[in-house]
Amino acid sequence: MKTYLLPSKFLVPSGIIFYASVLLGVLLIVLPDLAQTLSIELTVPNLLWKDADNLLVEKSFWIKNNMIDELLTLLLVGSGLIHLFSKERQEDELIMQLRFHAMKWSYLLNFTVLAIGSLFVYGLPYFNVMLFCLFSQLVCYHLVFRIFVLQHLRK
Amino acid sequence: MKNTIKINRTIQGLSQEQLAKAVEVSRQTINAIENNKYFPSLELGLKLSQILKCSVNELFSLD
Repeated sequence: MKTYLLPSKFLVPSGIIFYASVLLGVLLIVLPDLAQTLSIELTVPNLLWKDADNLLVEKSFWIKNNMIDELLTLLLVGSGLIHLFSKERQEDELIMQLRFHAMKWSYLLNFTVLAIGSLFVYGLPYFNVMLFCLFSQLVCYHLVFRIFVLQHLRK
Repeated sequence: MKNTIKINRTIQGLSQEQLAKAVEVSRQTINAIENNKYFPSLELGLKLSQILKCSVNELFSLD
């Protein structure tokens, strides 16, 4: 069966980077001062500068920004996708079916959280719900898939 | 759908591990197929029939 997956040698390193960046992301949310400590300030282009809200970001094309959260996002998404598309040690068609089931459950969980958030969270805190939903699908997929694989291998 | 893979595997004197290796899947996948927890693809069904030396119709049948 032809699959378009990366070799399994990527599985462990990408997994370590992914879970480490999830942990660092959670720490940055819980401890906002940490972002200042790990500051990487760069001058970057702000493409939608005309629509920028003066309260959140200055209204100019070139802005100074602490890039730690942007770099962490790239790291999390990049390593998450590599981990997602790496072969298991014993990849076969049942594992492919488990991938599909994990994807289905992560979609359901993610959009259930979004629906509940849309109904019960209003104003600026809703931004946190959107931020959570942005990454929860990837994290959810990995956790559900790993549980399914462990259950499968135990039999 | 039910199958006679376990019976045919025993007739051929193969273990789950040996059959799994022959059709390039994990032992757990063979176990899941034998216990009707997973229905294999046509490709895997054909491979199994080849290794177990019987037709696909003999291996798989509708309930």
